[in-house]
Amino acid sequence: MDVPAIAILSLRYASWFFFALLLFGGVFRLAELASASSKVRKYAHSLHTVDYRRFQDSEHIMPVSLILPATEETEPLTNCVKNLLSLEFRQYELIVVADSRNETSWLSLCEGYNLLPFRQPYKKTLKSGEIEGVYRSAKDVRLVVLDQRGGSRADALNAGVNVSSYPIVATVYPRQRLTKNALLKTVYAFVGDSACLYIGSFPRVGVVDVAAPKKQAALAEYQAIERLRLLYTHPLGHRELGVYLPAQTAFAAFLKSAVLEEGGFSGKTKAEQADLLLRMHARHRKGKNAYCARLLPDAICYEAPKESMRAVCTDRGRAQRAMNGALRRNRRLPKQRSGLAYTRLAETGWPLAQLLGFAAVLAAAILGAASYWFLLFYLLLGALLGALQSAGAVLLEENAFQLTTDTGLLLRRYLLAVIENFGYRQRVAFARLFVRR
Amino acid sequence: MNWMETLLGGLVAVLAAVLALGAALLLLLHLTRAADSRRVQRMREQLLCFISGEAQACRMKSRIYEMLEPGGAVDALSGIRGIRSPRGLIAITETAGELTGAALEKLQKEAGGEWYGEYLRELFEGVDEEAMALGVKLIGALKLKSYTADVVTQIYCCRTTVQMQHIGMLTLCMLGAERDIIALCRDHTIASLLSFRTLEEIFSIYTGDLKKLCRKLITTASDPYIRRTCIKTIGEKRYEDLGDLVLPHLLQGHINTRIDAARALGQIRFEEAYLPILESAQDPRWEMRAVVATALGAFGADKNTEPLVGLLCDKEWWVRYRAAESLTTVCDTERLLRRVEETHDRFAGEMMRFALDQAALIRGEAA
Repeated sequence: MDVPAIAILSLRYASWFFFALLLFGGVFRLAELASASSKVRKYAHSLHTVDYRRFQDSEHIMPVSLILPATEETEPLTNCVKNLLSLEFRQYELIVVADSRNETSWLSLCEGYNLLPFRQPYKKTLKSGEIEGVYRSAKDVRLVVLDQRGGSRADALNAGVNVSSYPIVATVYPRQRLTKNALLKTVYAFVGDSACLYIGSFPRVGVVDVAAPKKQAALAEYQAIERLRLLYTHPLGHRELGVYLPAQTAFAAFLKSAVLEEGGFSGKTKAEQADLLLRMHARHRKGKNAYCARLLPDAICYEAPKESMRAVCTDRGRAQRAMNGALRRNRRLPKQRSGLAYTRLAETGWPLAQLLGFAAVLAAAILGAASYWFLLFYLLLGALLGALQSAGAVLLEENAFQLTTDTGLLLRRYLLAVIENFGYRQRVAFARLFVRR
Repeated sequence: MNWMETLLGGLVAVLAAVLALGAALLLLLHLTRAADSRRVQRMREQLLCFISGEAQACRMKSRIYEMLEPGGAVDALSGIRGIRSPRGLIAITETAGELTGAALEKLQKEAGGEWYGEYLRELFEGVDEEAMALGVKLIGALKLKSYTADVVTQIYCCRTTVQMQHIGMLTLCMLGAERDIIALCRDHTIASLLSFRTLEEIFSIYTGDLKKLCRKLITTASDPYIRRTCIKTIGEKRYEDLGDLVLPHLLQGHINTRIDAARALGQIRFEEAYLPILESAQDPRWEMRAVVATALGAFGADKNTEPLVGLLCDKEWWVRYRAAESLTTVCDTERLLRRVEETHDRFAGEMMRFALDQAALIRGEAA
């Protein structure tokens, strides 16, 4: 056989291999979706059984220090703080760490909450940047504002932990909003299980209103659907870890003593929350301690969608780099935790395999090793398997967590779940692999 | 087309058909939302229940309300389709929480009746622990006392399941079943799975005589968490005459029990405990010293200014914080500040000023 004939034969086999891989990947994800479906429905039932709402006005719930690191925030913080002060929870404090040099955000706090300088002594347990001043609000005693100039997000979080008064510290970010029962649902897990160290959430994209969902722009819906698909088709990635690394910047609660034991958040990675959690896993696995760190599937945290495709791609690239950074710092852990290996494979290996598959099948079609029908069907199969996963994730979310069903909005979301597989999904996968800004 | 392409084409067609079917069903749901026909609306409702768990629960709840209305379209629970299911148990339990008076009585009668009782018995003989827990919870919500023995049996049968222990004990407390609770708590294999805070919450909703229950459990319960729960309850509910039962726990026992006892005895200002509490200000554990600071404040900050100032100079941050909190109730603040200055402890001074500022902020004087 001559060289071109061997090349064509190789391409043909490569096309078949990638077709088999595509089919296996699609079916595997659908199986994961089915497994997630039964678990999430069981979880939704269990919420009715244990009746966590009983703890809403209870004295026996553990109090929480909510920390909002906003030193890099240049937009007004009023809406975010308003949302965080309106949660239905008996005893909590909100510690906002802001930089007074960012005038817009700082003034929004001073004017909105009548801040007073306060001589608050605190224990400098964790390494953090210098706190220039502590302020309390004359309007709401639960609000504490720290003025910290410069420093990383980890510094801001550590400063918040140092000033916090309560045994649970919860982190939340300025672009996120919480549902009224977010703290209650999260902290309930700590009450029921004394070995619990961490409870994470999976942020949805959109507006906080599960009772009356609103129509969003198509790009926002695509992001919301993408997030749901990540949650429901990758349970292996987050079930035992408590976090899905590409969506790690989320509302999460830690047992304060466990945070102190680990030396707090580290500024050496952009994924400071995931990094801390991975260190906790490593320590407790090594010490063979009984502990629990898990992810709540509930829709309790929402984040604002990105407004342009460019911003979406930049964000995905950034999340991918943060994930890789956290994995590099904790490189010994994947051997103990299969979730990490799975996440790396799903988030880096799989898009690469899809890209290679597309290139191989395209080359095969052009060189005559496969027909153009094969190319067309291959592309359609990839898109339709993805569409089935997206549509399934949308319906599962509706079934488990949505309080009211607007059939018009659901139909629109369902159709968008199909359409996003013809362009949006490929661009996002490409951004994960190649965007470096 | 070769066989591979035919296979691919077939798969694509199947997937496309599944997605199209889903879209068609949703479209049908959307288009029929304003249809007048009752039959169409009923079919639409059933389809919606298939998609949304919440819609199914709402539908059942509205049917239960129809049953409770005099002359309503439904006569009995047996007229509600799907009510004998876990979703039905949730719907009845949630509705019970919203009812009072005659409506609640009617629901109690229906759910405690023969038709629904048959389902509950089947449930308790089955293996689905999730459904059993829902059944037990329904018994508690509707206070169906005739099922108390079944609840106890379920707790014993599922003694390794935290959820069942939680719901079972909660239900017994809702039923005010004192004798059964005491018997269960004597058994060391029961309640040991529940966390301290869960137990506290469970006992707080006890419908019987809580004081009597505490008096019996503090001496008989095998689980230290239960004894601690009783001690905390005595302090929080200010059961002054039970101080005698708490005092031994301050003098000996596990450090956590001693801490709870010191707090509770401070809350009820039990005079016989004053000296042991004062001695505990020298305890090597800072957690104990922090609680002592609060307890001495409860006995009267003016009377205990000196030991509290001593605790304000403690090496541990939390002890200083609690002592400062207690000292904010001292009448003569200026004299107190002078006394704190005399200690020449910068951290004590800072903490005292912070506590006074914070107290003013809470009183609304800072603005």
